[in-house]
Amino acid sequence: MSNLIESIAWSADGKALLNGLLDEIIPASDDGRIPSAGSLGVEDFIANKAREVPGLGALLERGLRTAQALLEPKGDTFEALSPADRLALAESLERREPDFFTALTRYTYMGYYTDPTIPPHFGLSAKPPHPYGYEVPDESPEELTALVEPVKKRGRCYQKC
Amino acid sequence: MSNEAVDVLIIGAGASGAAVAWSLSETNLKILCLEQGSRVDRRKFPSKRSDYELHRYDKFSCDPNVRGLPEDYPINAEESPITPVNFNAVGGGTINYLAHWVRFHPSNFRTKTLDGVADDWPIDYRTLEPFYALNDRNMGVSGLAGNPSYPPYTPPLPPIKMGKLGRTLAGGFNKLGWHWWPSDAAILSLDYEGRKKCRNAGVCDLGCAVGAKASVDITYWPLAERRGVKLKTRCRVREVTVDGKGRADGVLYHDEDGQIHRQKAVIVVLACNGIGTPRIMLNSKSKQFPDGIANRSGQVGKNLMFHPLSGVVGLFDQPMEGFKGPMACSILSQEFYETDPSRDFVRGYGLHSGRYTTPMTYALGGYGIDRPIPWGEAHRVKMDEIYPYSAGLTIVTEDLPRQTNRVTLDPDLTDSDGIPVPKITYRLDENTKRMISHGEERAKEALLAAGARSIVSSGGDVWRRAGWHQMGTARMGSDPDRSVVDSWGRCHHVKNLFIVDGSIFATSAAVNPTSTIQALALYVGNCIKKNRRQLFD
Repeated sequence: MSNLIESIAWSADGKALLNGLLDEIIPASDDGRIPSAGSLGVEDFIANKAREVPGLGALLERGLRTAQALLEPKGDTFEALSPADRLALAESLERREPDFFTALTRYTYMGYYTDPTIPPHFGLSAKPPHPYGYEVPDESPEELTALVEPVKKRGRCYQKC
Repeated sequence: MSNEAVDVLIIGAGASGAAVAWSLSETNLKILCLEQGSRVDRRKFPSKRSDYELHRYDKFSCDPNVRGLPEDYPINAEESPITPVNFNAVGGGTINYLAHWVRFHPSNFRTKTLDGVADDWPIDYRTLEPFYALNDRNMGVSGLAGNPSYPPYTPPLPPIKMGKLGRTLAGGFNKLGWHWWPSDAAILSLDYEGRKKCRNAGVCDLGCAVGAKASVDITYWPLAERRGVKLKTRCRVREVTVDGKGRADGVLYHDEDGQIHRQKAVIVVLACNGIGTPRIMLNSKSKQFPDGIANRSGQVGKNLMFHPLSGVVGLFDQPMEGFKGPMACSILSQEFYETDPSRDFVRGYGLHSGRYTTPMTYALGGYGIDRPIPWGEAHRVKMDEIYPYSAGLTIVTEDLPRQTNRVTLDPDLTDSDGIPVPKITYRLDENTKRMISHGEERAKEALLAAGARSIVSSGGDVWRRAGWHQMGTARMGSDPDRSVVDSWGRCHHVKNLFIVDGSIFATSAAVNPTSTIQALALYVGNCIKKNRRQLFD
């Protein structure tokens, strides 16, 4: 990642702007039970990706510069804007910098759902799938027999040849 | 550099290479297998990590163009709506496949006679039946006997769990009076042969760390190696070479450092899948075979078949828990599998209830699909109100062979050893498009009958990253002018060159092919064993 993006995205203002955008991309649930992407700290994931993925740092830098340029005439921080203005700015940014916004969205989704606190909100375990797995009740032989009985009754359904 | 000659040289250590190696290992033949990938370290499977989903988009992607590992070769699929996926390692695609284990129907071997399309195979279901059964035992297949969609057979293990999602959808099919059956799976429902039963972890593509899923690195290879078959990894075959009589006499291959070696052999067996095998054949040019080895018919690389897929998703009132259980296997309907003259297409399709996926993958578009869900408030609605309550049906269509759907050598792009990479030229035909439309409508009916309150995704496009099943590019047939291999899997024009992977399929059926690929590999192995004294007559 270039020094420039360090200075833009990870300065105090830049971080606030990035986190604001992350919150627009994945907001918190209405009841506040499921956090937004910005509040979850997805910025760290994105910073790491910007270091790893060739070209991503420059793309983020360009997009965040455009975001800052869009914010400047409003004379305020992203956080201080009304919800409608924050959404409008994000939509404007998506139109002007589609590649940036696509990449930011993709890595936001990746960072957000990788956080082990998120999958349990959807019923998944916070633990790795293996070796723990999931309990799935057995279909009893009687239940299975009853389910397939109508299919069996209709008889052969392949072409003999 | 040259190595000591062997009797049988197998190229590729995936599903078919492993099966044929095991089959031949009961002889006293000296057998060597060259594999371009490495042995996988099962302790490091992504399924053992909490960030497992990320690996689907990185070094454990099913797409070699995304993985970009040293053992991978790029594939140019710019001229195809479907891109081939694979895995290069000991175990091949069985490392990351989903182990849905469906046999061909008898009619799939007779489509020319029955429906006037494609070509009949020179062998039939009955020929393969004992090899299907043998392979089921070797791999450890779970399923329920009595499926009226097949001639009678009994899987060695009871079926895997259908789960809430499967039971719900089964109810819908029953209401409509349509065929369905619990899926056969090469996944253990009980402990078997030293392997542990399925833990329902739901991420079969990210490596089955408990070994419940039958990948050939833990089924066939340990047995074959114990019987003396040698397996060399990180050896990428460049070409099959021929002697003055036009017989295969071995291969040239690159080692891990790119150094080129010669390996002599009496018999060569190609087992590199429907893309890799024609690639090697087309790159094996000689005075006797200027268009590639065994390609006097011009059929090598042609007739490429995938299984174009589309999906329909219904929204239910209860969470469907689709992330629990074997990822692609729950129930399968073959109500629309055989040709029905009242429809506007020939042949047919299956309605597969794979389960559902994990949250990140859903957010990024689904498994094999790059179409992220919306951001903003719509994201929350999708994730909180739709994802947990969704269940889908996948329409898996029977692809028909076309000369224009093909694998060629890319004129410009090469892999890290300078070997031309495969270029895919593929278009969906009108028959397939009509079949998909029909399937999408029937899938909606089935989901609604099962209790879905609405349909949230109606299909419409085939999935791009869905070229798991690669077939037809060196097809089996009786006519040497229209096919590449004969009924033994032996090249018509090179008597000691055999092919055992999906390339030799004359038709694609509408089912996952690995069961049939391995049954064929065992059958070809048997043909070699039975006829070895007269192979060169």
